[in-house]
Amino acid sequence: MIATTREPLLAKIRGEGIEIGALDAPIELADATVRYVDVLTREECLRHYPELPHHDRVIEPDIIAAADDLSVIDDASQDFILASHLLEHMADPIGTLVGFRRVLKPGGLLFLVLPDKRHTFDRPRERTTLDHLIADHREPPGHPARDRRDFDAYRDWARISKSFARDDQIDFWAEMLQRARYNVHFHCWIPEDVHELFAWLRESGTAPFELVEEARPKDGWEFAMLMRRVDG
Amino acid sequence: MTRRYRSFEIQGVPHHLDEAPDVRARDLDRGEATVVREDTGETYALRAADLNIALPASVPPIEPERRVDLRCVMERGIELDYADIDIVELIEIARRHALLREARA
Repeated sequence: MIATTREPLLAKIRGEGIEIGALDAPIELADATVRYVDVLTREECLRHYPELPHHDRVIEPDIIAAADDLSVIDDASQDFILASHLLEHMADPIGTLVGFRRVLKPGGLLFLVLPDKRHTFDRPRERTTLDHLIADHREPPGHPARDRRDFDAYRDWARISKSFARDDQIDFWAEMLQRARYNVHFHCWIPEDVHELFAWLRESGTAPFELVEEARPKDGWEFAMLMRRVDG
Repeated sequence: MTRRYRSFEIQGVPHHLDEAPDVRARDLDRGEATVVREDTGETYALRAADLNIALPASVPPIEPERRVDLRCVMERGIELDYADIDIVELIEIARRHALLREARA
């Protein structure tokens, strides 16, 4: 059964947890206490992203941490994690999910919202394969193959976001984005790709989760998954 | 004298890079880009130190090899036939990430 809105998934979330990267669109929960995690304070966020449309709604994080380094948060301390339109921005999504699982209590819930690349500006891009994700997890930044894949993501971003006609124009733009470690969609998926990722995470023992419920809203541009930490 | 780099607009006024070799060398040393305002002939320097926005405390400092010269970014953007607005956007990306190399030690 696949829901057509995210609300049935959110209704299952209780207790105390965190939302990562909420910026100006925090998720509302009826029966839960949320602390906000971001790498920037509110003031820093407004200074670095003046283009954010809803300045007055940007939240003040309770915890300053990067999504891919939650080391300031204790193991097995959270009932839930909310991460909307975040995972595709992570150069190493597997490493990020390993970190998420670590801070979740056994049975804790992970609520993910992801763009469906078929209905966003990512449409012209190749879907990120599982092999690509595994390689990104095993090869750290600085590894030539990893840096090449990251560069390709920046090239894709330059190609999509600008109207350059020439490869040298795209390459220099991508080089600058890579120097800046600019926040782009490193990856793009359709729902089946993410199911494949979670199946591998469980089968390999890397970060076992099980699907609780999924939502694919009718407009199709994003999908949501509620995953449960599995132990043993 | 034929200029290597085309004119571009800063706040609606045509400018061009000062291409004198000694000026270029000084720019690279000081983390600057010296431009000539074409309507008045005034010459002045854009300074990386004035443009860079300090990184948030939680972001690791920029490694030296990731930094770029303001002047080189402008030259390369012009060489690649970027529109003025694209060069401005590129500098904006660089300054927000504190990528612009300031005075050389």
